[in-house]
Amino acid sequence: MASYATTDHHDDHDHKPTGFFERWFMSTNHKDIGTLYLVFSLVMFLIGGAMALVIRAELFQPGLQLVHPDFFNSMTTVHALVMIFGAVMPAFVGLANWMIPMMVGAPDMALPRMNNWSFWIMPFAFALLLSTLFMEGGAPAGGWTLYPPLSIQGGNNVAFVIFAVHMMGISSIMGAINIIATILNMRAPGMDLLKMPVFVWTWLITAFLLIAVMPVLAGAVTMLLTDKFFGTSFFSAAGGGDPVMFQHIFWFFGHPEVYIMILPAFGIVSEIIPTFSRKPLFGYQAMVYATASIAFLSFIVWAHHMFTVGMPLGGQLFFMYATMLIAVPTGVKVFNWVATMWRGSMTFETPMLFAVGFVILFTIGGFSGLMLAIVPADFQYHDTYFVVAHFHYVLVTGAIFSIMAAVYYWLPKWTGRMYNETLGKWHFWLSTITVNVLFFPQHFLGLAGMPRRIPDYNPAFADFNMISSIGGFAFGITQLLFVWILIDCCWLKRGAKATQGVWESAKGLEWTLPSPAPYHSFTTPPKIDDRMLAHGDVTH
Amino acid sequence: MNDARRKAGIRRTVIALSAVVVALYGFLFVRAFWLT
Repeated sequence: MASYATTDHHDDHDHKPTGFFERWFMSTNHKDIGTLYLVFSLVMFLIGGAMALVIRAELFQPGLQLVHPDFFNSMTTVHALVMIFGAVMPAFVGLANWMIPMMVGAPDMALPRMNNWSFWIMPFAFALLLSTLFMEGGAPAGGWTLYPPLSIQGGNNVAFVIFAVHMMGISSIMGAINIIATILNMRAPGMDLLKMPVFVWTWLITAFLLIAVMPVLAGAVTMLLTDKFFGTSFFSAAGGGDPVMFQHIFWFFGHPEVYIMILPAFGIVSEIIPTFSRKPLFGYQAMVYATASIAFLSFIVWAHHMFTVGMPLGGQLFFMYATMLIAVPTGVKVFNWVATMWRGSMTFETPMLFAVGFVILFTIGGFSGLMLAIVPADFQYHDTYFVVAHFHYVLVTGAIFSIMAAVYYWLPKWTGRMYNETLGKWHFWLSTITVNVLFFPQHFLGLAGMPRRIPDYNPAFADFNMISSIGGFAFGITQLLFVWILIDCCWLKRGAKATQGVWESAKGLEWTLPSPAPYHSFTTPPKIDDRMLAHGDVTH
Repeated sequence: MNDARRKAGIRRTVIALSAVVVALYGFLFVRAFWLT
């Protein structure tokens, strides 16, 4: 059994490992591993972003301009895999590593050595995935959903991608077990479940989702592997198999996966909005139950991704109505965020700007999701740019905006320095304007019938594509400003020194620690004072 | 919660969650390779 982080191993010092290798490669410290995850995520965000720019450059004008169509298809495929598994998920795991122990009053994660292992699998998984770009036959080009038969018609890249997915899955499962074990066993005395910060709650539920669906993905891709290399016919109609079965198995993983990428975002926004509204979160328990409801519903809606494959009317109706049900708990959340802000003494520092931007823009993505849930309408929208617009609203202005908000919110606690607020606001406004220039026209393109994943298109779609590409490059350049803000704060340390509380009315255990948070925190469990907690009095 | 109870709790949590993962993987592989 792995070692445990407990209070009996004399951490009454604050000595970091001295050597670079020892500190970063052999680390078992939740803060260092959190940093590793966040840095890895940023690198993947920039790599995936560069691929997105290849896509938008090719689509700037109709006709084949810059890249070979096969390479274009590889770009759409690898962009998605890198952004989902390399950027968004590791960013949330990084935030979980940094914040969950500090938020529940624990000295570290429950299983620190496994934590190190969870992280260090990731660079190898992505080295495997990205190496396919340099292979004969190129990178996978069948879309991130890996639908057979297309996905296994490529070269040997299939095996690389499948092993990469296996490794990412192993990393995620170990991370999820660690997070659940930490939350269930490492809370300081008095930190009852219904006093935990919402971010911790959303991660607890997300971790259960991960454990439930990652093996399903592994099973699906393993069957792809044996179909390709070992003569089975799970998904080959010629051998008596069923290609549609893959889609069912994939989306049984895929839809909960979507919520894995948004529930922690809900948690982050639920931390930030009360702080900058100077009010407690409206409806704390409703938020927790809504999160659990969304997680449950995520398991019974998968076939809404595949209405057009042909399924019985009863199936269509079930999946349509089940999908629409998700709007209820999600609506509860949006209502509660607005009600938290209602008559609050609001200020708009950068984290709050990103959080408010999240609430508005994620809701747009949610509504276009509802449109896609309507079966007869979906027959028109399926596989068009409308879908692309929808999921980029929920993933970029949803998940990624929340990650940006979280980084600005907790950066002073991590580094002991304030970031440059003026540049942060510039980053927010430029991001918000450009991301809408980038993705809003894609709704119109989709409604007009432009299919997704094509390098060339009808000249009728030219204007909106040009606008979208301009937005794409502007958004990409804006993110370099984010990188500069991070270098300025973390490396050059030019910002003002952060206070312990950082924000005027931030509540929670993490704000009782000095800034920067010491290398070892809560080596003896803190005494919980309900007034320090954001939700201390909910059970009274 | 004292340290021994915490360690026992972590152990139980890890065993339970690992069992879930093994059961899921097991079900998928048995279903895929032996029951088709």
